[in-house]
Amino acid sequence: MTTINLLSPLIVGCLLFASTSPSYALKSCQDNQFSAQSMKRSQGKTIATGNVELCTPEFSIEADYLEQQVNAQGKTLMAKGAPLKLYQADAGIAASVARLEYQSALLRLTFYSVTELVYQRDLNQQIAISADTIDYQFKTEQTNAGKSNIASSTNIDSSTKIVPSLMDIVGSPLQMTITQSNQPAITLLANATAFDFKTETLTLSGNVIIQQPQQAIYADTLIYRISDGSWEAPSNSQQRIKIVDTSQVQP
Amino acid sequence: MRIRRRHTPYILTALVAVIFLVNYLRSPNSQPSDSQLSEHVVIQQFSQKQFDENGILVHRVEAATAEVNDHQMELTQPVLETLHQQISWRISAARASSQDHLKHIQFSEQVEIRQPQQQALSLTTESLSYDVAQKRLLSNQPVLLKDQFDTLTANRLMLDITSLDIELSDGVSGTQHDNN
Repeated sequence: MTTINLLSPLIVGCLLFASTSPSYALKSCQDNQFSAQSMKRSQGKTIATGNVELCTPEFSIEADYLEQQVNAQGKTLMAKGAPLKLYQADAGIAASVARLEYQSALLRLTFYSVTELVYQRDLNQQIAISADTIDYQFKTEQTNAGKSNIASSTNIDSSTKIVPSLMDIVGSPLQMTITQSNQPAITLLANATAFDFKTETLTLSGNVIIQQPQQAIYADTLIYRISDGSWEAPSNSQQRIKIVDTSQVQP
Repeated sequence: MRIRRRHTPYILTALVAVIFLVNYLRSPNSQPSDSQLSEHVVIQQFSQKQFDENGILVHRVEAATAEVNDHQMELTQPVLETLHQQISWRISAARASSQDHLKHIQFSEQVEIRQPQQQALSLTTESLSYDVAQKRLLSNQPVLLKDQFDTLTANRLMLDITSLDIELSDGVSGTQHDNN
């Protein structure tokens, strides 16, 4: 019984991720698997249309339209869909967007009209984001004999792990919903957010609202820590922070 | 027997007609010919070259045998080489046929298109038609494409040699190679 109690958050977390991300989310390919209804290569550009699926070591996508170009700097990619779906299994990211652009040399993905981007932080916690644009930077880490080194190149093999680095999120407003197993959800609203995955902090700016179960916090700029749910105002900010007790409003 | 004077013109006309008929039948041009024998030709080690207005070779068709029958031409082990903007394309197959003096060629069995200069492209299929004037290749059979970027299969191919456009359709799948 004790074992079940200990494992229950893990089980819930697994179920949560499974419910938000299809099984395809767990798929990552070392050899760039590709399929589409049709594909045209013209003047150095490859355009694929109709049920496009691309599975790479960096991510996998399902789209209606995919445009790829290879030059000396690397590969650039633009995809569209209604919606387009992206999965990054290593990073725990699943996104449903209208359009994306990718630059392989920079390991940078830009999402447009983000219906939902789900970041599975761990088995217990996930963050769902809806926004106008998300500029997402990730990196690769080489894992050799238990040691981890930051990879400098874009060559990704089975010993390489994708690690999210930064996200610049813009919306009108953007919305982030943080859910943790057995706990009520926390909603963050703002015009822009910088998500630093290393420090696990969100720097929210512009009409910031943090809706917690017992209170709502209003400010111009706030720093929110995902790990413990704490928040603070930037040290140099001269602003008025409004905290509203919402516990009485709840039925 | 007495011939009446009034019958003389008719008799002369009949005699002239008979003489003309005999001469016509005797003339060599009117000899009936055996068209099947004369228009059925088999050529061993067939080779045909086509040059542009500047005398530059643009097409070369070679085959182990070419069987010509009226407008129909059947080639075995054909190899077609075509040059466009200094890029050469080579199409080989087990068989090929043409009904319009090699203006359109239908390749079949073990068809292979190679374009060694750019991207080391190769395409293989079992059936392919080539419009020589348009320099356009079309296949409605399963196709395998290999080059430095991709290894892909599809069920339809369109390749324009003049623009280097390649179109695969009706279900494309395979792997892409990262060369960056």
